[in-house]
Amino acid sequence: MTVFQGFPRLNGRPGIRNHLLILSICGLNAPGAKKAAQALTDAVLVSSPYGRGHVGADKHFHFKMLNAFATHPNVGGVIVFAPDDRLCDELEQAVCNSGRDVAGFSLQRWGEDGTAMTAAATVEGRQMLARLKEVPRTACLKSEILIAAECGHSDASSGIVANPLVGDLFDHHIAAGGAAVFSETLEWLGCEPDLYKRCVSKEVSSRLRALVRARHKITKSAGHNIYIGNPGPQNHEGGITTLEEKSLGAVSKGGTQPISNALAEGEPVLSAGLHLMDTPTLSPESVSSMVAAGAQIVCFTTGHGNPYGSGLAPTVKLTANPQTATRLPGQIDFDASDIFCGLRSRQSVLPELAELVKQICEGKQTAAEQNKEGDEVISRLGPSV
Amino acid sequence: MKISAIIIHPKDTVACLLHDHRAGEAVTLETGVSVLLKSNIPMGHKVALRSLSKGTPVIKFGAVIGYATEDILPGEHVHLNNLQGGLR
Repeated sequence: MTVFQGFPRLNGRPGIRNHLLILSICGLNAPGAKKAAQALTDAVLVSSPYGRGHVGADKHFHFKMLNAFATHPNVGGVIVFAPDDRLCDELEQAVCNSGRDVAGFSLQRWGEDGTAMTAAATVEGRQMLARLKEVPRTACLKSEILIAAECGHSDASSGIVANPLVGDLFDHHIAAGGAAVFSETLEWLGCEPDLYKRCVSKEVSSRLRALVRARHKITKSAGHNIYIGNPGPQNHEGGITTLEEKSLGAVSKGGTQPISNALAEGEPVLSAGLHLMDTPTLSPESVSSMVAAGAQIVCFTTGHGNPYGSGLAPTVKLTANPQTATRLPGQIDFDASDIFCGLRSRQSVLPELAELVKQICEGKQTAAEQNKEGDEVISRLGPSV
Repeated sequence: MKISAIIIHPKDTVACLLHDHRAGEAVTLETGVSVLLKSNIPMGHKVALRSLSKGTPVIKFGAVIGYATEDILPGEHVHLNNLQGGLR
């Protein structure tokens, strides 16, 4: 069937969760917001350690990301922690316009009494959580799901099995009208020409080229040569010979569909098909940017294991390494090691992965959700002043 | 049937070994074909599925991962000694 049980939203994609988000938009509020989140264990905390002294593109990006988290498909209600009334009202209004439950708390309004404000926000949060829990799931279109892919702490099994398997899932989801996104610009090193060729139009390919060029410029201007020693001795030992090969292994998690758009970091995914996003390589930054783009679920492949998950988007941890699957049962959601052991084909395992993804979309908890180890971060595009 | 090497993409000219193999052993592929190894090849490494003459592109993931720097025979280990990337 083409439907799943989720949470329809006023605008945009449906939710696969109906989270209460505690959103602290400034480092001044971070300790209070953390305290509130400890009291409200079912809430998701997203807390920026910054929020003052951003300038230019960095400032614009920071607030765009906060807005995107506040109105993410998986969010049903938001408690805003803000330093002042203006920022608080701005976010409250944005959340309100999106048809979600919202309550704003600003230090300015509370006469800078952070302790009293946290106590009041916790009371409000508890009531909101109770309301959000009562909202029933209803039928939503599976094609409205945006899946993000990420890899972290990879090994030989990642490039050979786990990434191509997620690529198969992407192909399958896109063929059914869905949307998918993958990122990490510097992991495309050497296979960019293949990616440019896969773009649906000249415009998309030029956009992708410009994003790649800009990311390389940042690296170069810092005096860093990313080609030297890449692939490294560990890659060589694992069987990777060339840089193209290493990158193709990472890119294989994106499947084989044409690239319908190239996006800047955190830019929303507004259409179906495969999207490429320019992001840094660290998983928290890369995943958070794709979540801000609207991804409701993340498929995260690992070789040796990696505990990181998104706070807002359930993160399905997948490995094809049999030792990792056995060693980390509390971290791995999907064990694809039968393929790596030569017992089953990717093709025969794909329906099981697709079924798990559907179950997670309908409320089954991922290991990272059970462990409450999710987070969102916002990249910095420049220094504060 | 238990296989001992994976062909990631149908166009690939190399397969990846799923465990360590010794020279003289045969690797079994999903297609039912088996290839006799000419050298020891460790897990994760590549074996040539066909003759690749010097300068020929080597295909994995359905894409070019580099070029043969010498003639490679089926069953040979494809790695640093006979494959070079096309970059730089």
